[in-house]
Amino acid sequence: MLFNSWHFLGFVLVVLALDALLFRHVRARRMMLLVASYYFYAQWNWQYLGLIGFTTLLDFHVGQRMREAGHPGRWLALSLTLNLGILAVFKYADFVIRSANAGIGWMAPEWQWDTLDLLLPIGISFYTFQSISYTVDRYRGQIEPRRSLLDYALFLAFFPHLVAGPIVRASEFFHELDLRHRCTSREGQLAIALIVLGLAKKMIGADSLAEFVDPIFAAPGAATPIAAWLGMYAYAFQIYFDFSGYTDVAIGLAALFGIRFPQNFNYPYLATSVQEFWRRWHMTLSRWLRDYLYISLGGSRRGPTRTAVNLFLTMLLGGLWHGASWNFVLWGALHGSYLVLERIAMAAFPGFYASRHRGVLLLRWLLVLHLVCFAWLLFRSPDLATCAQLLRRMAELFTLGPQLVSETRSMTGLILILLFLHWRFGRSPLHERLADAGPLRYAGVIGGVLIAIVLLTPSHVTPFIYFRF
Amino acid sequence: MAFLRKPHLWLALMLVLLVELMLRTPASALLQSGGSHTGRSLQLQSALRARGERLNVITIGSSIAEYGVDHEALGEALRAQGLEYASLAMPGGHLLTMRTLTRYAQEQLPELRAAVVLIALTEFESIGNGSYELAIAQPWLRIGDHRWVSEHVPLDRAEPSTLGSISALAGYRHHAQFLTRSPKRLAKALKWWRRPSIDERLWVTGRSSDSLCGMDTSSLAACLDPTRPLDQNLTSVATANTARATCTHMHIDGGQGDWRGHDLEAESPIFRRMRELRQQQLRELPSHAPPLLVLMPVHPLWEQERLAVGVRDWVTQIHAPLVARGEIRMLDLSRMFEGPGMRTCEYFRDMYHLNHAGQALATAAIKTALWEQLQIPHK
Repeated sequence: MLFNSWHFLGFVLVVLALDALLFRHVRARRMMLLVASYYFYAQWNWQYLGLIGFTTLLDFHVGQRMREAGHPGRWLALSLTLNLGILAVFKYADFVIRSANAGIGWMAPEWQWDTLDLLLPIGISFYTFQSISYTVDRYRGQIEPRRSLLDYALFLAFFPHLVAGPIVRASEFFHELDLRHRCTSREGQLAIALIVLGLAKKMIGADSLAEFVDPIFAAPGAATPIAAWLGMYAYAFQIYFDFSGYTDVAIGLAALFGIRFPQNFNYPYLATSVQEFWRRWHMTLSRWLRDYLYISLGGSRRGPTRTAVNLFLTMLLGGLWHGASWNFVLWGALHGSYLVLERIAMAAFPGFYASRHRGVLLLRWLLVLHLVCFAWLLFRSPDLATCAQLLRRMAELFTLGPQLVSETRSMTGLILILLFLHWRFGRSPLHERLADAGPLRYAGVIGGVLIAIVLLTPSHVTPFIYFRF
Repeated sequence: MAFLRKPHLWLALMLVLLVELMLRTPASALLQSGGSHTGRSLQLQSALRARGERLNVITIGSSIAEYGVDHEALGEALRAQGLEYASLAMPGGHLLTMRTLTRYAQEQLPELRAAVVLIALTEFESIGNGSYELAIAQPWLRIGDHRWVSEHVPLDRAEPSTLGSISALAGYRHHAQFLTRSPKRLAKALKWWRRPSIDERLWVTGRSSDSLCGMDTSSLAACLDPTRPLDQNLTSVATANTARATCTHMHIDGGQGDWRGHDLEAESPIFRRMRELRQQQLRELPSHAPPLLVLMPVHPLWEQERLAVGVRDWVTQIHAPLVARGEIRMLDLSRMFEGPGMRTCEYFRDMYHLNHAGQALATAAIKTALWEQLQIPHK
């Protein structure tokens, strides 16, 4: 059940109506939300509900027993082993097998293992990380154990963030749940604005850009050098619109149920350093990686070399979290290298990085934008050979020159407009302005966007990119 | 749900509803612009509004009709006989379009004496052109039409384009996307007062002197082979590319079926529905004389390698009962360029459409039949 489907719209309306009816009955309301969330997940594959159920029971029990039974480290190890074990089997086993087969294939062709060909459970990376955050927080003594299994199950399965985040900490979710906050008029307006604008980002922005991007990555050899460059920029916006659009809908939906989710995107292409990019892009994942991986590895407390290693490893594993392929590993490694080199550059040229001069900021912005965009090539390419071929096409721009035809001219204009809008709304986000807008202005913008969604979406409904992860 | 007690969201939804309703009124004519299917339908509607009730002869059909006849010449010849003529040909049109035009003729053309329906064998393998056709029919649709529109284009939740079968707003998707893909087109469309001349729209004729004789179209393989020489004096590169693109589609669409000996209607309800709709629409055309159904030529490669063997029998099965009862007259021009001494390639501008030479011969043949239909003596 995709967020951008009629089925989902009907589902949400029914759940919202039931939520309003049951609001005063705490247990019944939470039970209803849990059942609705499981129904939502079961629409994709009901058999994999068992995996969520297992993770729920495991970590709920670990959370209870960790301090009471002593040896909290062993309980944590049990939780991590089983959670990461499940993730490894379902997400990474075939990657490891294929890599091993390729590695030993040239030595002993008869030594080949069969892949498991398991269907990747949707949302597994997200709910596993959330559950791990609870057990680690329990281990660190930062959170009290949740006594209600129902609440814990709802924390993992709450449908707005079940399949692609944002990655919410247990303490944040339980705090919101316990507040029993009823969505106010202003919050409702903000939530609807987020949902409508999020859908527009996905259905108009991402899906339309995909029509330009997909053929370029499918056949890089057929693209002109300028089209290859534009394909890279267009993909940068496609993935931003796709994922931030999804997140906006998720945050808006949760707000309608009185649950406030943390912000996940903050106009990332305005960043003037790679570090800042990661503070603006998929913010809840960056926070998770920092709190539960980088800090666990020692963070920046063990000297500059170890800090660099920790940073690199964190980003490498962050890349692997996205998907089981060498592209994602290299994408993570590339971002890890960016961060390490940036730290070195910051130490070597403190003036350049501290300067607020417009020219310097513009230079840093351009540099970061291109570093990020080049990394997206790895992320989007189906394989490393395609990525290399695209890079070669792009390099030809400097020998052949730009060959602008009407299609590439329009796309150049569109990308410049998108950058301008990114900058414009980054200074003052549209949904926040709409939350306080009068009825006519609100209706004009939201109604206009709804009309644009009907008119301008491409003919096929496509799933969100991050559903794969 | 405190926000539901405030007018914000309701006003936004009302705005959407308002636009939906506006697009079902003549106000939608403000959006007319050449190029898109919807824009051309709006132009035709606007032209007919100015002159429709005086029309005596019309032609109906897809682009095969638009390119198949010299409408300007036919219009002049009919005017010399004191008759008003218009081409209601709509590129991309199929059964849904014909249904809307039939209704228009019933309601708005009281003086109609003859209707010429131009079709080709390629139009008998499917019941319509899918959601693509909604963009053509949309300006002619009304509230309450969605039931029968859904017979042609069923609503598919996974395909936003099919929403047009129930929503006028969604029916304008093709138009909106056509315009927004080019700032120039959009700017031109906004100058809506610059309407094309009425006569231009009613007699629009696709003209081309290019032929296919400069390339090898003797088989699908030859057509698809880029190494075959191209004589640009006879066939321009653009024409060759268009022909090759169609050949590619013919190739992708799969091999040739064989309908001989099959009871198609028993095998698939689609065929029964197709026959019923065709017959019903031809019967409902309100001309004084029985409608003249012309089976137009398409490039022989279609029958040779792509269309199901037996498609002609299927076409006969649909129309023969109507001909026998005198409800229609039929003129078969489908092989008019395949006789002895004919070089087929000389008469086509692509795999579907006739060029100027083909148009002239087809127009002459249609004129003869039409004059008989209208009982006008030949000179």
